Amino acid sequence: MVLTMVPGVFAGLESAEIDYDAVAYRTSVILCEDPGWPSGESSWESFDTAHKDEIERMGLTISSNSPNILSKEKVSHFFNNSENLFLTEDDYRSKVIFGELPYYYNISLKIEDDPANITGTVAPDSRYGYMRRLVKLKEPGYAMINSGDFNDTSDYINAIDPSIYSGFSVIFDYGEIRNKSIDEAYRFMPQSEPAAITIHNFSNSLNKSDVVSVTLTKVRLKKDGTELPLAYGEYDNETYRFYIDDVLHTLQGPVEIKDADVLKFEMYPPLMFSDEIGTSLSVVFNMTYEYLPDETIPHYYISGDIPYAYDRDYMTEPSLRNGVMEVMIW
Amino acid sequence: MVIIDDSGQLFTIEGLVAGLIMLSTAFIVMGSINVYTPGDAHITDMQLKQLGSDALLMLDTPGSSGEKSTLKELAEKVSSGSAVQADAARAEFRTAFEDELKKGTGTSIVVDSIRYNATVYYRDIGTDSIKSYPLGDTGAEIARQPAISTGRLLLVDSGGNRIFRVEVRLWRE
Repeated sequence: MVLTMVPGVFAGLESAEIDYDAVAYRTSVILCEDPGWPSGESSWESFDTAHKDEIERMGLTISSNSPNILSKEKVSHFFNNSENLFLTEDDYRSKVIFGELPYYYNISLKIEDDPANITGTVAPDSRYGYMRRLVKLKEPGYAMINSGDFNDTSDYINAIDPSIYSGFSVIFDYGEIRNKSIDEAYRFMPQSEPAAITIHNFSNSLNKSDVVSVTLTKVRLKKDGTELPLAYGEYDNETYRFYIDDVLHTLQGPVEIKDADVLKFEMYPPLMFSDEIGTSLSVVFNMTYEYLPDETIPHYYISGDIPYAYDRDYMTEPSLRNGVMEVMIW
Repeated sequence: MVIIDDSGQLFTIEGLVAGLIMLSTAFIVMGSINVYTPGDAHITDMQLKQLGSDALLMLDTPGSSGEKSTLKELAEKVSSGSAVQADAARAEFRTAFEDELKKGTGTSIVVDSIRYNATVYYRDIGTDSIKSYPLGDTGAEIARQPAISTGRLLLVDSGGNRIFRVEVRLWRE
């Protein structure tokens, strides 16, 4: 019996080897080459603090086919810059570093000249595992619409009712937006990226001496042409935000916008119905223009159906910015 | 002292039991302690290789759709047949590649100790032969420094697709 116990004594002396560099490498691979889990339709970054237990792994890439291309949304959530998700040290240990030991860590990401994002504690001078990775950050696309380019004129004004009712729509045709022939690094990804519509130069595009008032009566969201039954009079800040000259508004008017310069409509991922290819979502701005009852001059207003799509002058397509990530583990 | 009769057995048993107690104490103590020792550091090679292949990947990823990546532009210049263009390509590669290598977030001090030697290989259409062109190096010879090698294949569309191979050897001084 003694003889059988003796080897066991020495087995206990075997040291458990920890390789900080290997852990740093693994962490950097998860961060820079993996989209995390869950991914796809409801990706991990869409979970709020109450549901963060459902996050299994926090990878930062836009998809599993695009190593080193990081998603801006994921980066923002990972570095605790979002209102919805708050991550603790334990979350970082269990969802990105892994391993049985409670490692100390310092993860930092710097994009061009922006200030660096840093999480973790200050690293010691030596004896830490280290990995440096070169990455690109994908900036989502957006629409920047100059009102002057969508001016319309009306020569005829009725002196009794000198008004024009105009609709101005921006259309998200998801079949066209999610064009699979475009590399994911440069594709609009409405399921994981925000969209923004900025209508600028509004007031200047009008012939102001002729205009009595411009009223934004309402903004409506339509799916395939049918108005959605939403509570338009209330704020829904997790789905969209609407600003008139940087002041937050609901979609329910009326708002006088004769002197407004910028209307901005932001939508947050996943965009409504973006998982249904073949549907389209329209953001419709309904406006009423009231003019001086002068029948001899043309009256300016803006109107049009504007697709949120590729190869348009007013669209800024997704682009990549240079960055670098450092991972330290000890 | 010589013990005769039966009491000798008792002493023998006592001795064995004492031994067992000591052994099992040692066994329990050793079993309940883990000694952690940091691993060996041969992993620096891997860090260098990863950094090199990341840098080539970055140079081969254009900033926006429709643009040509830096590496592809360089490959076209090198194979254009013009010595001036090829020379310009070498200068561009050096600047771009060294720029990538020295990037840091500011949380640690990036020591400028990486040296490299880069070459591009391609098939010359005129002579139908494999050519190589040195894309630049940091000046110092490799001497006996252990270097790692990494590379990237490029598909360049310049009147028909052609494959280029950029190969980089990296080492630390």
